Amino acid sequence: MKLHLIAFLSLVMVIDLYGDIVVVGGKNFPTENLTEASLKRLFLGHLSFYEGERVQLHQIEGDLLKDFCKKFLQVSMSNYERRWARRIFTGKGRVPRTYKTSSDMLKSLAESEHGLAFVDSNVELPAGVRVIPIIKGD
Amino acid sequence: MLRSTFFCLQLLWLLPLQAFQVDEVDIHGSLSQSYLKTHGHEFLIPGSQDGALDYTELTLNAHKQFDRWNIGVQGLSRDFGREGDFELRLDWGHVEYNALDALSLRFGRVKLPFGLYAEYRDVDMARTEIFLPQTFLPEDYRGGAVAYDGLGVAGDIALGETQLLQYHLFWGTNSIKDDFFLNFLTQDIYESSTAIAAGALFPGSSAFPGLSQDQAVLDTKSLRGGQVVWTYEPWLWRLGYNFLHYIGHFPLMAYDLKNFGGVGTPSVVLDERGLELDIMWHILSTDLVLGEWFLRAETMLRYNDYTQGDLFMDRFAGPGGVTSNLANGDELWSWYFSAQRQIFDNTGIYARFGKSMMTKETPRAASTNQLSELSVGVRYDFNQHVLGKLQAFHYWDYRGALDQATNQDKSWGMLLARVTVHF
Repeated sequence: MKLHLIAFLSLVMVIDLYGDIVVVGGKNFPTENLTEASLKRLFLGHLSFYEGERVQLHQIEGDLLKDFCKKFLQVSMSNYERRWARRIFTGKGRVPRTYKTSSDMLKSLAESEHGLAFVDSNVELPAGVRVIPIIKGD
Repeated sequence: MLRSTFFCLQLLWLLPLQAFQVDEVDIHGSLSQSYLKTHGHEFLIPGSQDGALDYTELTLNAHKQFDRWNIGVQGLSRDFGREGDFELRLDWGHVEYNALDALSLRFGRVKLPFGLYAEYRDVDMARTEIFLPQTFLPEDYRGGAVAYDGLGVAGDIALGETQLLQYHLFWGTNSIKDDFFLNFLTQDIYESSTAIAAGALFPGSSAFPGLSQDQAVLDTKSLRGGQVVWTYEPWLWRLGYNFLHYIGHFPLMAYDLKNFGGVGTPSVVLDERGLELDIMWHILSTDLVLGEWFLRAETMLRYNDYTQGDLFMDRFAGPGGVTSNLANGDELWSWYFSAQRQIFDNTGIYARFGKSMMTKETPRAASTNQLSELSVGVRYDFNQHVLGKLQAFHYWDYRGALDQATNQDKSWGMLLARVTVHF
């Protein structure tokens, strides 16, 4: 019980490190939580599978993406965009789907098989979308 | 041409640019317009010393993914000096099966790995500079390292939580057509050989309006290579090794001009062996992201063995008409390093220095490929879909391919400006 409590408090503290952004997944996203290293691999395009399932990334344009790059990926938004431009214009793999509003994105995420995204923590999540806690460190 | 280019730019500027989907097919595109001005040497575009806008690129791609399959295609239309003339070409188009991250199979026309950056040399959005290092990826030899037509095996293997190993092996051929290099070679051999061989004609050159330009095509017999890249993810530090082996034939025909009336193609062939090329490249690369800094360096060794028919050998004949080299080969060593910094969210600057030099020379090779380059530049992103770039170059100790065709100035400069719109 004590160990569970410590683990829970650690998780809460970890989530708080990322401020107002939470990572969210579709209903069939193949894990309950992700390490920061795994999240970076997926969003930097290093890997596209997680536990044998192909992950579809979703994102919202604007300041939220900029904050996400800085806090979660530790790269600038320009670096992030250039990485994906390379993939788009050389025909490599599945690139993130981009939306103008979080409601559009969450609707699509709820319908996706193994989708992963990030949203403002104040946004109400629809059915079929859940928070994926990010574990700091490797 | 100029009017249509500006019209396209204005149109794209006004459009609400956004990548879009049609039936789950992702559509993306880009349009670039450049201005090039050289000082002390004409380079790539005729009239470049007066300033030239004859450099436009347009891409459009479509990509669909279902289950573990990727299918994509990109068209490239290019006008660049004597190259392209807005002819639409297949830039890449392939089918890929992703069994898992560690193994995928690609079939079709696939972008060719040649160092860490050649695959996206036409993706202006992906970098700060306009031209990649001319010591490494010279624009006048562009055709050889763009794409392969064949089969590729690639994968990304996670080594623990902090390291990644990426590989890409491929076998196939490629299409090298209407390249600056080919135009140079045909013209150079013709001009030299006619004097020596007393009347030989080499078709395929723009110097011969009566003969088809389509013959200025390198017949690639085999193209194979591979790349391995190790990444230390916490630092985004990459180390890469590449090799590429090219075997091809340049089907130049030498005809007897003495009895040629000047209509159609001469019938008497003096030499049909052309030029046999066997070239191997080895490349080492590294790059590193340090906050807002991006540092990179690459070095390359190229071994070039080629043989040719007697008439081509006369091109290098010594005093008294005695051929001095019956077997040819040369070696080239190139390197560069670059430092780039993002100074604001929308502004990046860079400086780059590089050198290429012949480590083994032949009479032919001595006249090509030597270069020292210093370049600085800036990129400004107006918004998410429109960017502008400015790049200045200084070259010295220059003995490039086009140099012979124009002038012998060994030190010269270039200014490039570009606007790119993409969605």
